[in-house]
Amino acid sequence: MIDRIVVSYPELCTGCRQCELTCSYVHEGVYSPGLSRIRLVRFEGEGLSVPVTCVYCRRPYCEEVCPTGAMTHDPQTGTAVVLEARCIGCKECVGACPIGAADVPAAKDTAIRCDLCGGDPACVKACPTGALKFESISQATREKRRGRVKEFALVMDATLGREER
Amino acid sequence: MVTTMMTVRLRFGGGLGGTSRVEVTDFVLPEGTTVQAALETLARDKGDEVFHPAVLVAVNGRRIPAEECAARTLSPGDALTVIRGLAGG
Amino acid sequence: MKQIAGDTLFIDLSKRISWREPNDDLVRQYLGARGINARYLWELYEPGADAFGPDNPLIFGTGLLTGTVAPSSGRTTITCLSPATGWYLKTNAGGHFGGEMKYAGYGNIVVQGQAEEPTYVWIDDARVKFRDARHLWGKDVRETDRALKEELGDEDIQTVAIGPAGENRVMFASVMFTVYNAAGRGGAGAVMGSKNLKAVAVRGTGAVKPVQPARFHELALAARRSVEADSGFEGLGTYGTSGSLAAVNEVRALASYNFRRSHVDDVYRITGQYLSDSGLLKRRVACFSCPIGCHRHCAVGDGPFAGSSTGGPEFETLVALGSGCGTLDARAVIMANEIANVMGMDTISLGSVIQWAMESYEKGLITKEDLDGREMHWGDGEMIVELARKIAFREGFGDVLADGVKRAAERVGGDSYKWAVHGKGLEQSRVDTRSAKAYALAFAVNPRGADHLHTETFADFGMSPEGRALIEKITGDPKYTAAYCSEKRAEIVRWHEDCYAVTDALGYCAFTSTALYGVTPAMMADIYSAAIGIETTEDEIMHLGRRIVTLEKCFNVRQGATRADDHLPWRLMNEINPDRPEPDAINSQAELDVMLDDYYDLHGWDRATSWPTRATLEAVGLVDVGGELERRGKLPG
Repeated sequence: MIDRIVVSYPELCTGCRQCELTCSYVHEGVYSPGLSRIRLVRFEGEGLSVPVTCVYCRRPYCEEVCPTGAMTHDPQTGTAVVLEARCIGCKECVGACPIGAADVPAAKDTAIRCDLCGGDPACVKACPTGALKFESISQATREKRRGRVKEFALVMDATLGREER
Repeated sequence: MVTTMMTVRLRFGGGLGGTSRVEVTDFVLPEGTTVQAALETLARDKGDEVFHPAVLVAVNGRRIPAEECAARTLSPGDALTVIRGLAGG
Repeated sequence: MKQIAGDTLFIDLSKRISWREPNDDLVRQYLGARGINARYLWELYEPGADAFGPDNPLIFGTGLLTGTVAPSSGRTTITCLSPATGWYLKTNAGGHFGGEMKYAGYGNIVVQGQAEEPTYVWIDDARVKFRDARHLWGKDVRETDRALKEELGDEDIQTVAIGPAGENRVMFASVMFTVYNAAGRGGAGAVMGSKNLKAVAVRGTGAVKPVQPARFHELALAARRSVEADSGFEGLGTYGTSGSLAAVNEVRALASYNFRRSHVDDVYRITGQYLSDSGLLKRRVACFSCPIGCHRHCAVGDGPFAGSSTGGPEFETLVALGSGCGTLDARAVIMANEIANVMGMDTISLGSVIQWAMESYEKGLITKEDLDGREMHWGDGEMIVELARKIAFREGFGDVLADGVKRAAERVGGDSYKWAVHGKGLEQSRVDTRSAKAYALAFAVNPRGADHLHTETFADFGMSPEGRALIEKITGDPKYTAAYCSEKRAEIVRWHEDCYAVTDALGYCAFTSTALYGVTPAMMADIYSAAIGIETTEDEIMHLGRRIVTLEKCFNVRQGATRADDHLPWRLMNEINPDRPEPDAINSQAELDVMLDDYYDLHGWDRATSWPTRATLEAVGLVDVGGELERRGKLPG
C-alpha cells in the first residue's frame, strides 16, 4: 500500500535539525526535537548525523504488539495513525520497532510515529541539503543500481574492443 | 597598422569557469585595453559569468567596482584578478 | 514569553546551590543572550575582582530565538572579565548546546564562585546537580564529552567543556560547545578552569513556543528563504568560511608571515576549495537550526599528520596556523586545529603567538635553548603542532606563549613588541586592516580587543552585491564601498555594531545578517515581535542593540579604559607591507584619529576620553549606569 516513504541520505545530512524542528511544529505546534517523528542520531565527535524515521515495514511490529489498537494505520492510504484516545503509553511499540522510529516522548503521554504528513512530508521540504527524499525505496534502489553501473558500463563498452573493420 | 600588445598576468578562477583554484596565466592584450574590454575578451572564452555581480575584479590587489571598469586602463605586467568572491571569516 | 525566553539559572559553585529567576524584564530591555549577559556582568562584577577569582561571573546566554526553527538561530554567548586583556569579554559559539539549554528551560546561566574540587554541573531539565569531575580533569574535550555521555547514560545530551588548556589557565583557552565549536577568544576557558568547572552537561525535554506561533513560523520560513537567496549562500555552505581565502588573498588582505606580507602567490592548498577537491573534507556540519551548514569535518589519511580528525578548519585557522606561519600545508593546519579543539584553545591566538615566536626566533630574540633545543623556521608544520601541545600544557617555552602575545613580548623584551600583533591584549583576527579600513576602525573600538566578532564589516570588501547595496544605503554613495577608503567608516561600523548586537542577542549567527545579508534588522524586529508578543519596530530593536553596545563600552570605562586603548597593533600602525606598497595602506595614528573622532561623535561619546556622555546614556536608557560612572568620576566633564 505504502510506496513512497521518507528516505534518508546520511552522507548529505549536516545535522541542522530543521527536520525535527519542523516536524514537531507541524504536529504539536511547538519546537521540540523530542516531539519530532523524525530523529537525528548524532555522533558529535565524528561530525556525523543520520536521520531515522518510520520506514513503513510491510509487517509493522509496532501495530501487532499494541494492546489497545491505538497504533494503527489509515485503511485507505496506509499511513500511520495513533488513536491518542486509545493509547495508554505502554511503550510496547517503542520496544518492538527494530529501528527506533516509534517513541513515547517525555513530554507526551501517547505514542508518535511518522504519518508522512498526509503525503507531503514537511521534513523533506525543510531539509536544506537533500538528505531527505520522499520516494519509493525500490525506485531509489533502481536508480542507485543504474547510477553505479553506468560509471563502469560505459567505460567497458568503450574498451571492449569492438574494432571497426 | 600594427597594434602593440602587452602581457597582463591573469588570475582567474576560484569558482569561475569550472575551476576552483586561482589559475595564473599570461593574458596578451592590446596596449591600453581597459578592464572592461579585457573582461569582454575573457567572456568570449569563459562565458558571461565573468560579469556576475558577485565576481571580484581587482587590479594589483585593488578591487575595481563595475562602474569603474570602463575607465580603468591596464598596464603591462599588471595582475588582473577575476574570481568568485565568497563570504565568511 | 517564558516558553521562548527561558529563565535565568544561577549557579553558585562555592556553595553548591542553584536557583532560577524569570527573564521577562531583561528580555524587553536587553533582548537575550549577549544583551542580558552584559547586564548581569555589569551588576555582578565588582571592579578590582580577580579574573581568576570567585567573583568573576561566567555567564552563558543563548539567543531569545534559540530552540526555534528560525534559520541559524542557535548561537550562545559567554560573558565575563577577560583574564587575557582585563577588559570586557563576550565570546560566542554555535553547535547545539544552546538549543538543549533552552529546552531545559533556561535562556541564561550565571555561574559564580569557585568549586573546591573539579566539578561538572549536570542540568537535567529542572534538576541541577553538582558532580565530581576529578576523573575528568586532564581529559581532552572530546574524551570529556564522550565520558559524560556514557556516565549520564544518554548520547543526546549536550556539553560545554574545557580541555587541559583551560585547566592550565592558558590565556586563550576556549570553552568548547558540542565538542568542536569554540567560544574561543579572550580566555573564557581559563576562567572556567579557575572555577574548577570542567563541564556543563544539559538535557532538555521541554518545548519552545513563541507567543504568536503561526506568525513566528511564517516569519522564520521567510527569513530562511531570504538567507538562501543571498549570493553567498551556496559558496559558504559548499566551501565553508575557508572558501574565502582566495578572495581575501586577491585583495592582498591575507595575513601572512605574522602580517609582514598580505598576499601569497598561490593560496590554493589552504583553501576550502582544496579541502573539498583533495578529499580532506569528509563532511559538512551545521549548527543548530542552520540551513547554511558552513562547518567542516576533516581528516588526514597519510603523511606526517595522518590520523588527525577534527571539526574545522575555518578561515581564521587556516590563516593563523597556515599562511600566517608561512605554511601552505592544510594537513599540518588540520592537525594543529585538532589539538587546539581537543585541548580547548583559540586557534587565532594560538597561531598569533606561534607566528610571533617564529619572527622572534628569526631575529635572534628567541634561541634554540629557549625552545628546548629545537630550531624554529617559518612553515615548519611539525613545529607548529608540537608547540600547540606544549602551550596547552604550559611546558617549556609553551609556558611563555600560553600567556598570549602581549605578555610574551613583554617577557622576551627588545623590539618584539613591534611584531606582537594584538589590540587591547587580544591577538588580532587575520584580516590585514591596512587593506580594510572599516575593519580597522571596528577592531580598534571593539571592547574585547582587535577582532571582527563585534562588528563583522565584510561588506567593506565590496565583494558581494548585497554588501555593496548595504554600504550604499548606510553612506548614501556607492563610492564608499572601497576597503581602502577611510571616510564614512564610522557610519558603517555603527550600523554593523547595532545589527550585530541584535543578531547575537536573538541567537542568530552573524552569517545571516552581516556576511550574508538575508536577515535584516527589520526582519529581526518582526520575528522578535512574534516571539514575545510585543510589537517592536526596526528602530526600536536597533535602539536596544545600541543600548547593549553602550553598556559594554561602559563596562570598559568603569575598568579604566580611555581613548588610548582604542588602538591597533604596532606593526599595522607603523609598517607598510610590500604587497600593498601604496601610501594609504597603513593604519596610521592620524587616520585612526580621524575615524575615531567621527565614531565617538556619532555615538555621543567624548572625543578626548571616549567615554559616553550623560546625555547619551539617558538617550539609550542607561541612566543608572551613568549614575554609577559618575560616582566613579567616569562621566566626561
